Amino acid sequence: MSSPESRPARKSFRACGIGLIALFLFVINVNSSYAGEAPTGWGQWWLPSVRSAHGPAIDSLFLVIFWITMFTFIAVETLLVIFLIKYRNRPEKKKAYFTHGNTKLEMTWTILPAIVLAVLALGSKKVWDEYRYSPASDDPNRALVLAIGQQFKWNFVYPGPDGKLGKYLLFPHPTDPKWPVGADGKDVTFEGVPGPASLPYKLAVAAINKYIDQENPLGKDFADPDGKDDDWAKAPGRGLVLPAHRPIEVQLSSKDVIHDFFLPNFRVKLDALPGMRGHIFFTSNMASSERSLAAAQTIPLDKLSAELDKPTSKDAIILIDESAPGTNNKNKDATGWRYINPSSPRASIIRNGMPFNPDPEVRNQVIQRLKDAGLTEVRITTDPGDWELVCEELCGQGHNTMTAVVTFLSNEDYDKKNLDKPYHPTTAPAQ
Amino acid sequence: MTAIPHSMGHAHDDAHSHGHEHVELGFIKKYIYSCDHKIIGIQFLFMGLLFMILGGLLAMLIRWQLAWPNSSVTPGHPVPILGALMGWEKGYMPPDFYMMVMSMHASIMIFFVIIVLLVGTFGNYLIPLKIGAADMAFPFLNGLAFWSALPAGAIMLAAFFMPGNAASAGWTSYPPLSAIQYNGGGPTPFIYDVSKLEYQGIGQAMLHVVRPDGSNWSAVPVISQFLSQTLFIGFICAYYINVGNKYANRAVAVVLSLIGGVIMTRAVQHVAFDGQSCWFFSVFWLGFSSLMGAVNYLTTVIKLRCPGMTMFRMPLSVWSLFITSLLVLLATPVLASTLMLNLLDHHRFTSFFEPFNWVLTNQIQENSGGGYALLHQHMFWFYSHPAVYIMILPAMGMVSDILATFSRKPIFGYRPMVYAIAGIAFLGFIVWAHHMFQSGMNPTLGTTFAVSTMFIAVPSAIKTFNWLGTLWRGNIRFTVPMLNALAFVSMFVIGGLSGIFMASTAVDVHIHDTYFIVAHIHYVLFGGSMFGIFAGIYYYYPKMFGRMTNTTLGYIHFFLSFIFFNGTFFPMHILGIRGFPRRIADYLNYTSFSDLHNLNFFISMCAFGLGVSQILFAINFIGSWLWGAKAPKNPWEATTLEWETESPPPHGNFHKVPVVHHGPYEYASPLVEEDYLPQTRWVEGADKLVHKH
Repeated sequence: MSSPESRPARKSFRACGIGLIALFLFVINVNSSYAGEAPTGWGQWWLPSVRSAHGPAIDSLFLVIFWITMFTFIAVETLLVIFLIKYRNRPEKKKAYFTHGNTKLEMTWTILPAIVLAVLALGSKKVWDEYRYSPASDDPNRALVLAIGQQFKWNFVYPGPDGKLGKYLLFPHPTDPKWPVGADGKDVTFEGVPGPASLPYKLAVAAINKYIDQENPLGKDFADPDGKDDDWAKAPGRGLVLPAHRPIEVQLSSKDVIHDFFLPNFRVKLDALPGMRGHIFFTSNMASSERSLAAAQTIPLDKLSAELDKPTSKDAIILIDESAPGTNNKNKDATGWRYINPSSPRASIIRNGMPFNPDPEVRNQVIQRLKDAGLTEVRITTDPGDWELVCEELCGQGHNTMTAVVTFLSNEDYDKKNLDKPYHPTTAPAQ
Repeated sequence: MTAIPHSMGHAHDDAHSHGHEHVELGFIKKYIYSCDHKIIGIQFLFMGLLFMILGGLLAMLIRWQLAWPNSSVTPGHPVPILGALMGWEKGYMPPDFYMMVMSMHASIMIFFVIIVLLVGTFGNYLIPLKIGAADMAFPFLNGLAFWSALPAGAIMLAAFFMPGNAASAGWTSYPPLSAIQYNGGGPTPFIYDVSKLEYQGIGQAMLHVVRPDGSNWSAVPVISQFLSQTLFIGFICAYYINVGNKYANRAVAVVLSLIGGVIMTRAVQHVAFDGQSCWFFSVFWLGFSSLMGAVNYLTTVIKLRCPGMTMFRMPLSVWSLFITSLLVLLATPVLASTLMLNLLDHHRFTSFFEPFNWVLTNQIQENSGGGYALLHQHMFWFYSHPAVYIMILPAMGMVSDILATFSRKPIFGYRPMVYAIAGIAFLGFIVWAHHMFQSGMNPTLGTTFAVSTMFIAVPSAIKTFNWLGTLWRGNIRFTVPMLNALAFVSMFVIGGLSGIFMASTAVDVHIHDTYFIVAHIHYVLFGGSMFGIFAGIYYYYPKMFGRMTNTTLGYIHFFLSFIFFNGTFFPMHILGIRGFPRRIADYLNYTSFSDLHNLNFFISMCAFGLGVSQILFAINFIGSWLWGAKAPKNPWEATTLEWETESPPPHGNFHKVPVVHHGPYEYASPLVEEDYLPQTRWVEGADKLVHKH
């Protein structure tokens, strides 16, 4: 009984294997010697740090599945390789072992995976329900924001001090006898007519398009009292501001195509569908300033100038100790440096939004001013503390540009912005 | 049987199944307009492989862009040849072109490569041979399935020549994005400029005949569409025109098919006028080809098995193709309906999927009104999830055959394998919404589908363990098809296990629409189906073409593919765990993902390696056809029926109707001296050995 694979074939089989591994190593080598302008290093290879209250449960479930599948993977592939080596065709071997199966064994490897998978399904139901049917959905203190996607930017609408969102995404139709009432509650005359129905169909459509573009891109119902104090903007592309350490409800919708609201660090993802309203609930465990602070390193004020000369400090942000006297009284000085008061009681962020050290003279002035205020050291970080909103649903040709800056503020700072009703944690319902 | 035109009909009557050699077919009916399942299978094979070249080149373009995204952080890298041809600024690929490339790569690979190769090629070639039939139950319908697939392919290709280029809404074509007509904005691609070159004089006059006024179609797609439509109508005419005289028949058939070609070409141009409508119409059309095939396979397996070939003596490849056909038959009509509704939304401004108050760039849309965008997703995935199994089950079947053959050992647990295929098919119909966990559908529905999805892993596990059981205590021969089959098993394990992550609704929150999904689908469809296809081609090549393939080239091709495949797709798991989004032309726009540039570069290098290694396969394929050693009847010493006839089998497959005495995998049988016992060889007690345990 001779194998159809002759001896030379077997030799070439081995030679191919060795040669190709060498080639693979060569490819890796070529890659590592690539010196582009791109960021260097291999990056971070695991789940991004988790910053939401429900996130750790998702991560633990991920890890459970990871280790179960890893164990199965290693077991199956090891067995496969052992069998391939041990039971390879050898000249002295006449025949394989004759068997058509083993019912007991097959029952075992049917029932065992079924049990494991049933447990996983139940476990994932628990975590899923905690996320989608979160207790935060009943929390009267939750902050509310409406995110309306459009190609290729987000609109964010905040409910204002009354904590209630108005009605949005209601657009006039060519058959409407009247335009929607204006912001002052009175009837509107647009394009010289009281309503699109007064115009011939084509002109009515053109008038509606003009109305949407100029007056009401979000289809807001101005007559709705809940919407009176809403914080909204005609133009899309504002950053998203949310409170940390407080339940958040994000309502999702879209003007045109399907978009997706994904915050990797918060394990939050849901599609924004036109014609529907999605709801996600989560709580952030970290404010942006806390993130900046956590990533900061302390630098003596004398060495700050040298530190800023390093190319890696191009986008650096300086955090200063606010408890030092005389540092917290101005928001802007003559040199154009801007002081933003973030939520942390002990830190201020200075940044100018430009390359940080454009002019050594200006920089020295600032450092001198900090010294005058009695500071001896500052903290410096390159992390602005903002998160990125990622659109994960293909939404058209500018899909890759559809992002927004997400900033988490402390509850006090969020309340100061009057975006939502004030936070009163004591009114939380008894559980 | 009466529906079979011409003399072909007799060949499939049981009484005459060996007496049809007197039928003399001309060259055209023998090799081109053939009703022979083997020729049709090989025609599908060439179609699939040609589309694979295109799909592969598109994949290279995707990886080119992701290796050197043109952004503020890095400059791009000019795309060779194409960059200059298209007149891109500095030769960098624009993001909208990337969207198109990515959408068309997936569409072509899924609809025109994997399904065509697995179901079209192997379904056609193997089913009658493996069950001892002379041909399919409906040979003419079978031919029609191939010739109707051609216009579908031509429409899909025509999209590349449309203003605004081909479809760019992904292979899932979710509305409302896919309902947006191309509005004439953006740069006109060079390829369109070239194709606008008109023929002069008589050529121009002829072009006017096949192109209605106001058509968006340029000369190249119109001509290819006309040719494919004429060939399609011509196939019908070749068998149904009977005016008495042989020459009159031909003349009438030619005239009729030309007229039919003109009418069809003009009609298609009214329906498909931009990339997206081409996409809808092409896939819609291709569905009919699939349905014709499925009806045929089912009928053939049920009615035309040779004496002794009971259902449970069929090889697993036939079982899997049988159940695949059932899936095609039940799922494809749903896809066809959603495509037609989408086409109406796109073309005629209906609003099946477009909601009230649908506003695009601050313009109220005409088809805004009452539709439900999620409905398309439900209908689409109701087809496309079973389609995932349509794209893997036939490969599983062939791999089972190949593993048993080269382990020289019966398949471990034949009946459980059959039940597992049936179980996958049944569960495959009730898991579709696991693609939609984060789509905004009811979260409780998500849990339901998570449970059914978890359980579909059970039959997959059974199959994997039974394959391991088949190898256990075998006498394994490392031939080229065997290596590819082993790659299938080991890679399918990875693809199957990574599926458990996304089956869990909660974990899917993080990895949905990231590269984790891309890694998963490629481990199943490339690591699984493609290696299964390679295994099948290497295994059946001697039977199909009567030549042996080159073993050394086969080894090199396998090892290169295997290594580069893993180098390409394994790191994508890592990207996905980081939350790296799919379908992004320029990830350096996101500061959160810019540190993954080197990993992406590595993936691209491996992808190029993977692409280049396929040249070896092409060389082997063509070279072996020309210069390969003549193949014996049964080069692999296998037991099933196809190895009982010549290589390649004659018209009608078997000189004598084969009679089957026992199951398909009697290797290492203690009853005979050789280590294999063909299904046709009668040995006392061989059929009793099956259920010993």
